[in-house]
Amino acid sequence: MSAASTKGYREVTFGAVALGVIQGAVMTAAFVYIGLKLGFGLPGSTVAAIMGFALLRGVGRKAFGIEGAGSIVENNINQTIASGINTASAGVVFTFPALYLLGLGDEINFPIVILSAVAGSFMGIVVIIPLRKQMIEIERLKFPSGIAVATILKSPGAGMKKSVLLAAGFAVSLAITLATKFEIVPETLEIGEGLRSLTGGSDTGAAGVLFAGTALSLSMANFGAGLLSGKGGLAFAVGGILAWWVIAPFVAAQGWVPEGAAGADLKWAIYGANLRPVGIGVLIGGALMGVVLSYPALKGAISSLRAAAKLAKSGDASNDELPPSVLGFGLVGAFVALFAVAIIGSNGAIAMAVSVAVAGTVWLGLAGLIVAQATGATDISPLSGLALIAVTLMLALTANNIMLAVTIGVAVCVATNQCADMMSDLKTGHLVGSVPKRQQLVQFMVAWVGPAIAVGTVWLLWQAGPDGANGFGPESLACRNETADCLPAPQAGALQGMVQGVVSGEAPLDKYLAGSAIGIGLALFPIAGLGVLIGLAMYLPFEITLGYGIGCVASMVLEKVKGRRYYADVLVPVAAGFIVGEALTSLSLTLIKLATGS
Amino acid sequence: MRYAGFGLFVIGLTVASWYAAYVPEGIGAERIGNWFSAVGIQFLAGWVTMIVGVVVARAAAKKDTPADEAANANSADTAGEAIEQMRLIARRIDDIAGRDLAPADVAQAPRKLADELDHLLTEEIPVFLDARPLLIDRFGLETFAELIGHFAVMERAAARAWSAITDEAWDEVPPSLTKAQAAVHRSLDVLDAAAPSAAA
Repeated sequence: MSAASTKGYREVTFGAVALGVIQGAVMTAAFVYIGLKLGFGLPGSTVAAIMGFALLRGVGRKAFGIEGAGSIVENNINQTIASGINTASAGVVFTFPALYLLGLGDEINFPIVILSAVAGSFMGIVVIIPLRKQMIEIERLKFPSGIAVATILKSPGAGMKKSVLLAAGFAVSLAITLATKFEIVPETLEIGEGLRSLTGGSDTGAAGVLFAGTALSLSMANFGAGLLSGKGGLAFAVGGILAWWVIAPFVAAQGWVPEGAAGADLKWAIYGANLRPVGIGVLIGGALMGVVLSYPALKGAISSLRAAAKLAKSGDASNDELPPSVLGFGLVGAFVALFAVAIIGSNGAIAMAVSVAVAGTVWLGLAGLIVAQATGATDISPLSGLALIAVTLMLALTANNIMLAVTIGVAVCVATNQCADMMSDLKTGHLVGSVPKRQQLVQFMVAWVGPAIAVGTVWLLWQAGPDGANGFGPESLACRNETADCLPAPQAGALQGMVQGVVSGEAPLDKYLAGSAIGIGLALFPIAGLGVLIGLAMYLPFEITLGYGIGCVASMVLEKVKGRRYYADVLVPVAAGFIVGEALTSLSLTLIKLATGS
Repeated sequence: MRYAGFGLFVIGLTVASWYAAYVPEGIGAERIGNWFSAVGIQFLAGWVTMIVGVVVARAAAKKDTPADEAANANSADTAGEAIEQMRLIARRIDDIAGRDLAPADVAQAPRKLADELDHLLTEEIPVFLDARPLLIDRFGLETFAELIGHFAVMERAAARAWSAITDEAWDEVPPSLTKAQAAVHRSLDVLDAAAPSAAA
């Protein structure tokens, strides 16, 4: 037994901040590249937490002899900073490159784009201030990744059994992820298509989409998220059934599909034209009504923040929370920054700039709420859909000023991702005993780093083209020649397509409106967050919701049969292992692939 | 009544979703008009049915009597039992914090203390938290928000004590336990002010 520690409990230390910044900066640049190459982002918290163990705890204690180095709460600060910086990568990669693809590269005002992204980064942290109390303390949303990271951080004290279960979950997930990536087993089990082959069923019409749409993703992270969510996530799975077994067959049966569409083509046609846009509308309506209904709780959350600040002032308690005044300053600051972006982007049109700043700030808040609720329940963030709505709205307000609309879209996307990440980190902090104010303050300190690096990396990669331009995109030389250094920028390409569609009047506004009305109705039903969960399920292919739903049901059955203790003792470490295993394996394989050019 | 409301809700949601998915001709505002002309009535019929179902389901939920609650008596299945669970948690914290442990005392038997805290955090607190809807019904969302705010401070402080034990940061443990104790009692104060009849 070591002697009693006489030093303070290490939390916000130079080591934690420095390691977090270095990891965050490296991950941001790397994940921008990965995003342009593969079209998806990767979470940084898991990587950062494990590196924190190795460096802060391992090297700090053993090599440098720093007593108490790498404490649980210190490592939490490290991963908070690292992931907070890295969130800019996805937000920027989904939006900013679209300006290049739309041929507007020479007109980009870089300081304004970076200002927009930084404003979004700060706004994402600010919006969380009341939402943290609402979602983590009152609604008790799970935030599966937050639980997974907390499980890693707590593993030194969790006991051998939980560590073994965490490792076992990791091993299973590693094996399955490797098997899918090397195509030993498919990534998605086409259950419906298998049944269709056995029964000789049709590949067109209602039967066709039922068969084609019914598939199961073998993502262990997805299954693990369902295990952690249990009963609370079941509505998401039910939403998937509604989308793919009720709506899609009806759409096909009515003939509201392209002529001759069959099998997978039929599935993706219905997904793109019918389900996804309605799902986005449901998300918006569900979130809007959710804000109205939870107003008393939000009011209570803000009163609670004021009360905590008052108690701290009178010396009766220390204040763990940022005061509500920070929220006020942050909202004003975001409005001013967005106004500055808009006034420059609109060449001094004050009325337009005011409307853009107001709408942008309001949408930032609403999108933050949607994504916090979605990730809280399911670990899935509808980031691209929300960015799409932001740009659509801005195009409408700016009379199709694409440059300005996408620049504001950068702010929204960065803010939304920051919200999701910060909430997950605060959930982790809640579980390990971190002080939320410290996590939020360190995040404020570094909020500008990620946007600057992400925008700079995109610019560098564009300049890396043969003529100092066209370094990425489907029309780049590397992509036309199909060489290994092709960076197709798929997400930005999708935004490019959407912008061109909106400018030519093809935005599915009817879907958004009808979906919003449904979302409002869903939110009125006495199950919290139902609108957002059902909307999210419509927004995604069934293979994802089905895998998650199986996890939810498994969790419910096991807890019922084995008792409540089983959830904490077995399900949490195993599910955490699943999530961490897939994240690290995917990341490692991606980096190996990029390094070897294969 | 509740099942009737739920049934109407599901039927209405299905019909509204079907017709929301219709893709009309046209662009911009013309597209919205075309959509409404083609399927607007059917969509509205579904949507109104859905709303009626919600209203019926919510009314039925509000009508649940205390007798109904008691008939389902199980661990924290009533608001009274949830309150009692909260008082039990407070007594546990009082017991742990009341030992007035010095850092050296913690260092003597850290695992025992860590196990007690772990039991509190993973077994006893979740029982109380599962009964949140009952407490929200009883006290209202705003009062509940205030109560749970202090309760959450207690949870974080207890978790911090556990983490400090794991990290062998013995100095951190006693103040964290004191903070947890103060916070849970502030939570009880809110409870007692809101419902004097629930006072122990």
